[in-house]
Amino acid sequence: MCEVCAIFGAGEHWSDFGRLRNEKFPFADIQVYRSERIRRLALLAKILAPLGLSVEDWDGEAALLVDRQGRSQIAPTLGDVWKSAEDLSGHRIDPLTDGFLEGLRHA
Amino acid sequence: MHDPIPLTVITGFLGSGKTTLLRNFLRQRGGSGIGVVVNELGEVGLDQDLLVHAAEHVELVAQGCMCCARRGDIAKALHDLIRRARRQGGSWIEEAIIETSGMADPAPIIATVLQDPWLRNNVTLRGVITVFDAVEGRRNLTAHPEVVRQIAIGDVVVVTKSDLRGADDRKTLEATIATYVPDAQVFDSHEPGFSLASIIPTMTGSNASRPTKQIESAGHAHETTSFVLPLDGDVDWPAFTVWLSALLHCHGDRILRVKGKLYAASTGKPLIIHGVQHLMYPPVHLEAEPDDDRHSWLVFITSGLARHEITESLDRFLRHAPTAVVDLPGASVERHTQAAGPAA
Repeated sequence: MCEVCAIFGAGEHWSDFGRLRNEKFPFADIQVYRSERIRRLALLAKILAPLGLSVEDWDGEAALLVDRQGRSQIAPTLGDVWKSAEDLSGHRIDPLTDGFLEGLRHA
Repeated sequence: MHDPIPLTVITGFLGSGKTTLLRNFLRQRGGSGIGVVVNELGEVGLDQDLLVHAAEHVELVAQGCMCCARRGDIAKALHDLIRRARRQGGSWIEEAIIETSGMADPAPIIATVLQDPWLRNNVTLRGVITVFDAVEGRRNLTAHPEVVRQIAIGDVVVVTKSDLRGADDRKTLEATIATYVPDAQVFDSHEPGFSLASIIPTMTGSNASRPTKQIESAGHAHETTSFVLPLDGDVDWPAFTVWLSALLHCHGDRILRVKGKLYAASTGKPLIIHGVQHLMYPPVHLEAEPDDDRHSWLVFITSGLARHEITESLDRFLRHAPTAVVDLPGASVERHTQAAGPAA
């Protein structure tokens, strides 16, 4: 979040909603960005729940991953989520395996 | 504040004719305003104000794969080039070209440009041109894995030496290249009217059309498989990005290239995505055309990863993802995407 204007950033990662707009400051539809972001965090939470991890928003920009022992890591971008999740859980995350969907099936 | 300088990478195997192509391009453009970075200074023979030699040096990051390696030499060379051009009295630079060495994997160069904080703000990657030798190219493809990587990463393939005895004909070359890159744009440097100067400015991804040449091709040398994956309906961007980022994290070292044209449900406008192994370029935005068929598609070029593994994974994920978060704000995106069967 910008400390001066208190506007949530639209993200710099290729997957961020801000990258869907060809504008330097894509804030006209910031509400859409935020709801899309909430959906993405919710999906991540479902996927990672079977590994004992919770996923929460962190300052409107990043994702906070916490394991059952309370250890946490901040993933600044979507690309960082998977490495943090593997570090905390000790499990490899592979979307080509059926296990990737386990959390979604029990949603 | 300066606009980022467009950067084009010219790659190709040893002796494929990269330097000749570059020299002709500089001659056509009068040479001014173009900064050039080369790895093999001895061969260039270019009379450029803005020429920097980068002694090829690949820095492997801890536990990193080749595609995430940093080309410190390229970062420094581009930095020197741009700083020199911007100094008072220096020659102004409108665009930059990197000519790789013949054995180079272009992936670390792309990683460096996309990830270096200074370069990200000062350089924008326009694309990669792969130079392909009409005489030796097909043999090199089977003998040298570097050539497969160079072809897979290229946005445009320029065939050289087609005037020499022993050169393969255009149809054969196009068919060979298309088995590795189904949507490859192939040019012949000996065709009348060929000009790199007219091709380079078009390399923004905006000329992407749905690849129709080849649905799938497998069983090449080095276990390369390439295929087109058509998608039905608009793409649920949050779900799609979760799946693709997980795929690139886990299997990026086996995905030589992923690219595609997608319609995101939340914007309705097409965008072009490009990725090389673990890395994705920022998406390129297009305006929707009135006669657009609104078909989304992806192209994968993989090494040791089968089409069905990726197709089934995406299909499974996109079937489960929307219902899993249906109770959340934004879940009203009605049109979700499913991987469709092969295109006609």
